[in-house]
Amino acid sequence: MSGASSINQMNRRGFLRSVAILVAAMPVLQACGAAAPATPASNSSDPSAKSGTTGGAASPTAAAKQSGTATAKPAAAAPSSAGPTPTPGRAAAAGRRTKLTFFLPRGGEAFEGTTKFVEAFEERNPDVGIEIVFAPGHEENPKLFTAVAAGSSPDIANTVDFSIPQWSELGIMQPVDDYFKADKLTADHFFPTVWGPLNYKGKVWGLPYEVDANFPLFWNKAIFRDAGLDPEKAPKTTDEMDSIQAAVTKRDGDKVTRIGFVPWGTYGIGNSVFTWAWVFGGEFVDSQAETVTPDHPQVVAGVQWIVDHAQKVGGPDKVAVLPPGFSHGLIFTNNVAVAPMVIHQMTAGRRVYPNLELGKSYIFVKPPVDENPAWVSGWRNFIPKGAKQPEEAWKFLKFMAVDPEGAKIWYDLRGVFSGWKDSPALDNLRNHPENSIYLDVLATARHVKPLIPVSSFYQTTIQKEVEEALYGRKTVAEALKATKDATTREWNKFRERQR
Amino acid sequence: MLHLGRRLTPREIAAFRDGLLFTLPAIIGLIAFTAYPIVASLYYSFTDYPIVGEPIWIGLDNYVELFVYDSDFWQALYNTVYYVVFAVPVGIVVAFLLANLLNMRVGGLAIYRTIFYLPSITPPVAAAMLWLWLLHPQHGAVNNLLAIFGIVGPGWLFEPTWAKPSLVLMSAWGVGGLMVIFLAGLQDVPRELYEAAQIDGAGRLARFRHVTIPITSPHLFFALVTGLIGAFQYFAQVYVMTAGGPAGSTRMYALYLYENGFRFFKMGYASAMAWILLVLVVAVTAIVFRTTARRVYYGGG
Repeated sequence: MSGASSINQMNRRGFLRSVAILVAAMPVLQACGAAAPATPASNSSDPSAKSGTTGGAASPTAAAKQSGTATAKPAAAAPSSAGPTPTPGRAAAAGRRTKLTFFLPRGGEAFEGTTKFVEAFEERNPDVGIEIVFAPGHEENPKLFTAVAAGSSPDIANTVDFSIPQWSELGIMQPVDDYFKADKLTADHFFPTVWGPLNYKGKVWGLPYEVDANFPLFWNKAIFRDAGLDPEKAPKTTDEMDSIQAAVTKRDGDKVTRIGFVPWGTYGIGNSVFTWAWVFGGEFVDSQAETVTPDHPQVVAGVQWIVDHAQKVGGPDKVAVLPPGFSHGLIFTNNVAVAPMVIHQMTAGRRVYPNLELGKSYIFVKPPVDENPAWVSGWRNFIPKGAKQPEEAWKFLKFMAVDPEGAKIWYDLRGVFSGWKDSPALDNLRNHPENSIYLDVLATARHVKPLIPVSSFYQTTIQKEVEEALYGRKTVAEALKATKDATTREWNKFRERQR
Repeated sequence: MLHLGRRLTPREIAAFRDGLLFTLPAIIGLIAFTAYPIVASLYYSFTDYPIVGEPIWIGLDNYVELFVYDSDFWQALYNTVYYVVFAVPVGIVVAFLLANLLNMRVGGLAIYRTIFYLPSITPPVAAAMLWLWLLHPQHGAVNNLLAIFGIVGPGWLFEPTWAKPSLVLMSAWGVGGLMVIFLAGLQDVPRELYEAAQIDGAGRLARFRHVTIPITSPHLFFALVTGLIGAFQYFAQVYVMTAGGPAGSTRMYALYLYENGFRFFKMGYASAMAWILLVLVVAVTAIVFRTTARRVYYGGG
């Protein structure tokens, strides 16, 4: 009896120990990439990844992530305890002399649209086949980084514009100046805010294929009328916007059920900070001194303005303007009077609400700022370092960015454009009764997100810190000072390493 | 089986060779994909390693930076410890109570067991998306339910104060796996012990306290140890739902580690974080073994 039970005892204890040791070893693996998760439901800090039902209702973070690629098909590749998961992708057309590999980080409609575009490219290039591999992410892309590090780079990859400084300095991308010059392309072929990020430290790092003009402003005329405001008059200054806010806002108990606008809900808090700080004339980087300036007085003023608006309504979580299951731009709720919107939101919203009466204009400013303070961001195709067939890859980059036929196909598929000035797709936009404003914004925008090698860190930090201020845990000055200190430290370390 | 201390017969040598050959794929896999990365990450933790490019030896800099300068590290650690301290006990209690309920002799038991187990076969990401809806401050089922009782629900995942409690609440939803383990344990409790206790005058509660809990203590202990280890590595849900927000309130240790490795290109730093977590988890596990293991009743001796 005792013999048997002691064996039993040993076994159980032994088993528990083994399990404990095994499971305890797992966190180490996380640093090795093997345990990296497959895909985010959505991504942060780049507008093009979100469809921006940024809640208004509530969170500047989580609600912003509820839509867009959250419903994307490749989200099925997320880690699962229920067995193996399918990896979305597309095989190259059969029987082609050259086979290119394309790491595509975007899911959902972007993935489907790109797949169709690749088919169109293959039809016109009978020698080339392109395999698409889903490699989720943008400013972070574990699959791409590990492939490049392992010397098995794909031929084509893409990322958001503000990643270019860091990725190029680390050796993930290769410059394309030779091809660029050979094809007689110059800076003049692109809008200034598109060319800026493309041309880092005197070299060209790929070609754009989708740019976002952030943002035109839209207003709901019916709400303006109801609140006794002139429905044909857009707010031109922050003061005018503040009075619209006061006139429009309605409450039910402590909940706000109608609001003038939601400054912390402009495509997530990260994008809100940039948008409104530029409206106030703020600058985030001193490019002469090569320092970050989140404590720039006008950045502080812009962020303070966001926080003040949140406090006036009792906090971000008091805004309850979204109907159940709503997944379009805030303006379409019919509970928000004024909202900036990206073109995806506009197009998608119009499909469902074709008759909503909207006005459009440039975004308002804080005098003495008098120029359009809009900014541009977007996606770039590039050739990763170590790619085996850069010449063929360049053909594809060109077809997507600066080819008349390609530009038209791409616009028809996705309703977006590459930022190439001569694109015939821009004619469609120019003649569009409502979306033409996006072209105007693209042409007049002056800002891009910080083009520094620690841009991701900067944006992640500023978002987190401003949220602290938004929820009353820090003052705005404290939050932005903390951002400055952390980012400066990070940038110094990066410089030290690169030396 | 191999008996050392005597010469092996040719047949045994052949069997050993065959055995080795058949297990070789697993052994190679273990060395290449588990042992090597673990050892390599220890080396990387003393380097500046941006994934692409060579690691540069920097000694203890990563560790110093983490402990001395990085307030986000401490916040992430606090968030994680908070989650561990609340989610693990909540999970065990809920799973244990459920298992006890499902161990009763009532009709349709198989159906109830299936229903309660079902959530744990839902992929964590899908479950996370579902909870985003359930906990939606405005239209979520949870707040609507509270409203029936006149309670104004909080903002849950959308408020820094409530975000972590929301995650704890969610964790109780996926206890199906644990529940099944407990159920197996409960069915192992000898009926005669209950009868003996009953004869001695023990009521329901006393029987639960003095019979059920001691006999199932190995299962509870197992749940505690694996639960602790798992909770320290909590990742997928926050990655999908909150990205660490609002205001960093759900930026868990594993999430911050991932951000450092793949967003900020600090794989050496992330490796250092992984090793700190390993030491922490081993220490906590050791403490649990020292303080709790002797209270576990393994039957007999």
